[in-house]
Amino acid sequence: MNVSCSRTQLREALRVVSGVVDPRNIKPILKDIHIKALRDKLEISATDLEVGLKFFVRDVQVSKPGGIVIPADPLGGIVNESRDERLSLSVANSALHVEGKGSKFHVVGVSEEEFPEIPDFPDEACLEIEGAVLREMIEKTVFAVSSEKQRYALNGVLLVTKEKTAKIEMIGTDGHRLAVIRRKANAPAPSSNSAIIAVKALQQLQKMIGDEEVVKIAIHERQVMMRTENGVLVAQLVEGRFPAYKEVIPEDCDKRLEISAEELGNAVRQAAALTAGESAAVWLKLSGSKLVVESSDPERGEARVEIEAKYEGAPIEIRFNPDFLLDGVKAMGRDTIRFEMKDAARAAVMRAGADYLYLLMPIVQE
Amino acid sequence: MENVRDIFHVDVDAFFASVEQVLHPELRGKPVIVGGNPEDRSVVAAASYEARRYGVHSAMPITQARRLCPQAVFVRGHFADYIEYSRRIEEILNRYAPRVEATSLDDFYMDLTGCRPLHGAPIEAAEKLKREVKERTGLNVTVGIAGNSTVAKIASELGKPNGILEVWRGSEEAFLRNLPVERLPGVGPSTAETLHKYNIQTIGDIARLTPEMLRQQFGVWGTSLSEHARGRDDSEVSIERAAPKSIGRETTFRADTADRAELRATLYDLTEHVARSLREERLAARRVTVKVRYADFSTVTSARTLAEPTDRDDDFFEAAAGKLEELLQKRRMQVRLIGVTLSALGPAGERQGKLFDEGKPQRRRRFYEGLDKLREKFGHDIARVGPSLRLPREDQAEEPKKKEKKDVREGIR
Repeated sequence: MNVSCSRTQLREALRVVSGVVDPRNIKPILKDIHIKALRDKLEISATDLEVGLKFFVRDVQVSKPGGIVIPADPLGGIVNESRDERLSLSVANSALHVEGKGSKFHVVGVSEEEFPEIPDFPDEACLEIEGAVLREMIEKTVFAVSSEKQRYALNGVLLVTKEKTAKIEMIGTDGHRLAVIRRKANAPAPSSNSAIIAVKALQQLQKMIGDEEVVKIAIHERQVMMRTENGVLVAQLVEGRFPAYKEVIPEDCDKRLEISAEELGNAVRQAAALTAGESAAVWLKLSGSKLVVESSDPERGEARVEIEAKYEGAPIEIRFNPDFLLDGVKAMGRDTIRFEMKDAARAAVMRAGADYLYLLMPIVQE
Repeated sequence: MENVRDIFHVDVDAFFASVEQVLHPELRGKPVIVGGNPEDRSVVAAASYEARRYGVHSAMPITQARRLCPQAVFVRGHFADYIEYSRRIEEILNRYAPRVEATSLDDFYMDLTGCRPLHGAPIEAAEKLKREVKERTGLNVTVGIAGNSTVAKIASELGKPNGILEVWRGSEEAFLRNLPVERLPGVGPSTAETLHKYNIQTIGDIARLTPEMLRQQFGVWGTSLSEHARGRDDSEVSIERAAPKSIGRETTFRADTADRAELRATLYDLTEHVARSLREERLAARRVTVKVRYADFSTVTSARTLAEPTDRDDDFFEAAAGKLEELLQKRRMQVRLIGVTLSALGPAGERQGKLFDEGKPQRRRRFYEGLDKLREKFGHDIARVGPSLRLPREDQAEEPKKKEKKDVREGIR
């Protein structure tokens, strides 16, 4: 292998790919990255066997194709610190040689044969979606996903497509709250599918998506493949059954609050300052045209914040985890939030238009 | 007029031995001696009244007790049960008085001042609570009633067993006058010896000395000794203890072990105990810490924070077992001790609502509550759940000859 490449593009590729590398993996080769010079581009890949990713450096001159597997860390350091515009990479004696102006590095590697291949996929039968739209969908659902390892199916976002319609849906939940977003793909989906995609894969995808590009998604039985202009990501689908989320979205909320997102966010943050870490909870007390946010912690004190709000319905007092409220306020991304409730023991819903909703359960008394 | 207080001292009669008799009806009416193995050098922890008739008393070497009363049933102590019974009694007492102070597992001070409109005269209140304790636990208690803690305690000692003794307010000094100095709380063998040297035999003899004389001899304590001997004591029954910050339990294996199944079983058993204590306190916990001490005495702990507070055995065990496994993977050595601690405590009954599976956790919670009730009545060993099924039952009361089984676990809170 012998290549000259743009340092900034190489740096970008290493930044994206290194996110997949798991430094604690017990298989040494999975702590490494694979660098491969093809005829017209440099391909850098990594995998943890759950998520595999390859990313391309296109500004290259390849004088001799080839490849090597090396640890991710040292190369990242070298490329970050270098001030050269271009770097030349070559392989000799099981080492990657990196050369800039007046600098030379040898990074010891291993042969590329053992590195797992990251498959690519053909263009047909893909879902095509604008990068910015996909990014928004991920952002507005992934925060609600569970980080608890026991509940497998909740460790990812459900992606739902319907044959012959461009409407797609993403759902994230941790069992206590639920975010549902609907958007449109560029063209009708090739098939109906429901796939649970792991958070790590989605976060990785976020890093890969450029500003104005189309992302292609192919859902297979066991894995999902996603392609951007410069990269391919393949992720094992999360196994397990996603909960019946549609059934828990209430249709009968008779208490409606309309409120400025900023004001609600501020009030909750202020009240939350006085909640105990482990049993954090704030009261929302609604009646007439005012909202009172209260909290108390026997050891630290009490908080009460009152704000004007547009409220319809019988008075209600309901308790929430302040973080859940704040996550919702942030995800709504609007000036005014619509917040609907039924009673103090049932799920409340925040809505932004017809295509995004965030459901959260209150804190209940047993 | 000085405030007249109603202070009760409640003392359970032959506590450990009585609990054994409650849990093992076949021991009723028999001399029961609780303590270590009759073959070894341990001492008597408690003796039933039947055994006391033969001169057996607490702190006596087991071997001597055996000589005095060879027909006695020797029982190794079951601390978990004693703790449970103690808590149950405390719970009952708490309904009678706003202030209950447990000074040990089997004695309690209560301040019933101002409670007469509620419970009637002190003696009636005492009868009522004695009856209730008997009905609900099967145990006899003796109640001493006086205007202060010191006199109430002496009264309960004199009223034993199964009695009520009230010292009329104003007659405290007269009540104490002819009692030997050893009756006064705090007067141990060495103080008694000093007093005897000066020919002071009775509490009345102490009362006749000036406080200055006592202070010269005994320092600051001499002042309170002088007060107590006159039947005066203005100490308060301290308000119930603060809510615990953590609840833990650990156990040392009789023999070091690396047997996963045994370790898990023991861990489950420990988890059940701490979870039950947690439920009794009406608390929920969010953090589970597992402690492992290896054969070389090196000790490691590892903790997991749960997604939400819980008070259920299965939630805690899942976290604890995961942590135990991690610790065991890291180091291959025999284990000497394991322990589990719950922390990050908060009020129970309040929890983050769930969107999907409301029914199941409720059912499991009811299961554990049912189990708690069962064990409250019949002792911890009445039921075994899950991994702890393989554990041997704690030693049953047996005749000394047959007693051979090992009690591998000694839960100390």
